[in-house]
Amino acid sequence: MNDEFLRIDNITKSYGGNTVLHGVSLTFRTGQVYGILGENGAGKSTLIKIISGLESADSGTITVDAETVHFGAPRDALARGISVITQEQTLVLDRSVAENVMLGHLDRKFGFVSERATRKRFDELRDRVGFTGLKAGTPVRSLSIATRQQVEILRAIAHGSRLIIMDEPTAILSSVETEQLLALIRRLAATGIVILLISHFLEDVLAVANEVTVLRDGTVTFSGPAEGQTTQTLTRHMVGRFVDADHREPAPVPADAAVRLDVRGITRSDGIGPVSLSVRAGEIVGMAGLIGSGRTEVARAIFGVDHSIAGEVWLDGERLKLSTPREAIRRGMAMVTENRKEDGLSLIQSIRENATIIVRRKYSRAGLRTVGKEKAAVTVATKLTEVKASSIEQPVWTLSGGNQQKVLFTRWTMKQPGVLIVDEPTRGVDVGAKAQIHQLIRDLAAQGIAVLVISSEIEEVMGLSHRLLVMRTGRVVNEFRWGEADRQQVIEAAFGGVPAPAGEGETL
Amino acid sequence: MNGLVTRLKANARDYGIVFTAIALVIILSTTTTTFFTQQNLVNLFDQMVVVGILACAVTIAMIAGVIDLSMSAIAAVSAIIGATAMNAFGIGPGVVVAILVGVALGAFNGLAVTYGKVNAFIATLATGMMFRGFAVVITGGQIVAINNPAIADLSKRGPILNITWASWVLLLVVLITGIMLWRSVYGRTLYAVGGNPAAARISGISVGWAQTSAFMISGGLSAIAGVVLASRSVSAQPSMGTGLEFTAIAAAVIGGVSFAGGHGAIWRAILGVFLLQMIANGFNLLGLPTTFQQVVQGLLILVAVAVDQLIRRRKS
Repeated sequence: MNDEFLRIDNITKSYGGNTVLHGVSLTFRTGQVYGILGENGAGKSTLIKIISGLESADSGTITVDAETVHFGAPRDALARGISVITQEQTLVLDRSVAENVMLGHLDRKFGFVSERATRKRFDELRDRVGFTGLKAGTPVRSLSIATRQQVEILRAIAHGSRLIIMDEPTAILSSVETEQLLALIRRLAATGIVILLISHFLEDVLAVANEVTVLRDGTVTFSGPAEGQTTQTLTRHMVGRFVDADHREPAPVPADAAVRLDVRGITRSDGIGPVSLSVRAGEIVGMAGLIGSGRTEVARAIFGVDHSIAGEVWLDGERLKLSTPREAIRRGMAMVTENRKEDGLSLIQSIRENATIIVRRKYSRAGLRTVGKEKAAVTVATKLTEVKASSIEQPVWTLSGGNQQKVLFTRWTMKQPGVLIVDEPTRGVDVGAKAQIHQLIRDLAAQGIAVLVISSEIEEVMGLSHRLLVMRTGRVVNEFRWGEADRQQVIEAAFGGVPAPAGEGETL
Repeated sequence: MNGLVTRLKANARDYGIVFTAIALVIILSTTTTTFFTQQNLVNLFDQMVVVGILACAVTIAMIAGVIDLSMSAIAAVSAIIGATAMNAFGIGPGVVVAILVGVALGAFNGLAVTYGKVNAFIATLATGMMFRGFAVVITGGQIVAINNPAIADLSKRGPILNITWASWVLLLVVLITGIMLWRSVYGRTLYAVGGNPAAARISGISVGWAQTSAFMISGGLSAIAGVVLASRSVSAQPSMGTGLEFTAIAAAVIGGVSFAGGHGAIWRAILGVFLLQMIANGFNLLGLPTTFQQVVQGLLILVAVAVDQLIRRRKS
């Protein structure tokens, strides 16, 4: 099957005076998987918006099934069999799986929804696609993110989609879930569906795509078979220079470095724990594990965001008496949370306001803020964290994901913490910013900060950490020193392929 | 330079509302001979006082991410208890009592929302009914007359600027709350809490206390508005000020205070009050049928919010 389904010719698009796509031409054939790569701002999202009818191009043509089309709205694209699955899921959480999938195509009987007919058609569709794990009646809210994604895919197929665009589908998935999704993409392609995969995860793209297109500054810098490409060659096309994979051995921790964070048997009411761990000054300790293994939950319990029912947290040799974020911060702990939009940043406020929220009292006199000092301090701090913005007064929502993440780092570094917990430091961040954030984490550790890094991206924690803790079902099951284990071993430990050591839950 | 352009664009909304206000002033000044006279402006300002004070309260609550629909009920209860206290102990102590009652009722709202975990909209809708009923219970539905007629002096003009004493009260409230939100550490806390409560909590801020205190300030300001309202008729009664919180919320929204929290400023709310009042004033001066006045004011709210959404959509 090598039939052309969709072709775009010479697509140009600009916003204001800023041209984001310069005459892009691409062809998509049935049954193929296309990876679309590029740094943030390279024009990927705009391209997707044009293909899916969310935006219209300034010039150029779109051809579907050898017929020139004009998409005025997403429903026009949908009618042509083009659908998008975005990072933000668009399901009705309180309705069942079947209702979500069949939304807009519910069977009616005497003007009422016929539950039975809808379910029957759902079951047929599900079996045909092979999502045997999905149950028609389950409320979507009770499903994991990975399963919800399957529901979205199934809905796209139910709508008769022939081209499915997936925007960063693996960003929210653990390694194993990612493998499953990639297998699924291959299966869908085999049925003749075209898949456009937009991703920052080059390995994922290389694992599944037939062809790869790289965008840089609105132009195609590479388009061709995925075969023969490596993450290095693709990165070079993306950034226009060669970026070495960041796997330098971390600077050694002095033998006499004091233990700054000491967690003893912390246990939560949801069955996670007991977990014990310690981090020394200048040390980076990584935490890997599947989503749901309890990594984030442990971090939140240490920081006092969530309650723990047992266990102690010791900072610099003193026990933390209260378990609240306020107390943790007072005693020199900092935490960059997993989801910067949910519990990290206040998007409508400026870089300065977001950066100084913790140190707001420091730059004040008699309860009134001394804005001059605050500005000076933020200017210095954002230089260190390499936040790219035209002004520190710029609202945070105008920044790219990478810069938003750096603002979050700025906030905590301004407090000069002794212990830093970082949950998913580079989620949804482009390649360039990622390397900068990794360097930042190393620099902070070099200053004597004890760093605990959590990430779904195994390479990330493997590359950064002096010691890597692997969690499974709420306990730490393995510990590897830097360079001691390869990716496969870590995945196996996370998945349970390696027997847990005796005295489960205790680290070495 | 580049930074300035970005800021101008990001703040397009500010200029929209300022230009609308200026345009209305110019239109009314040129089409009528009576608008731009001292007498009219002094009256206009005086008429802004009660809603203006409430709009300051609304702004503080909305920036902290909550809403207070019980403001006019708090104003009534505080004014009634305050009037009774005035009759017993004199005007000064009476005002203090009124404010304390307002702060206490605000604290009750705050606890219901933060510790009772009831949505602020619903909680204050309910407490508003309770407070209003409370006012009826205390008075038996009767008017409480204030014995000392000196309270009516609030509507008299003071020596400076020729504006009424009530207008001075508004100016003082605007100044204090304005500086508080603009420059104080506490103000920053409110913005942080309203902008993203989960992030504020992880940043070590007590979200519950911040919101409760915002309700307390809102209650205290409502009480001040209640006293000013009572001064107009030298009496207080259970049904006084009914529905004024909606005018105040409308004014804040027109001015560009975000309903979603974390964004806004006192001057915006006051500009909103000014616009609404100018429309009413314009209808009178131009001799237009006042029946249409509410239609225009309602339309203005819709347009303000729609333009806000449009700008936000283009931004994202």
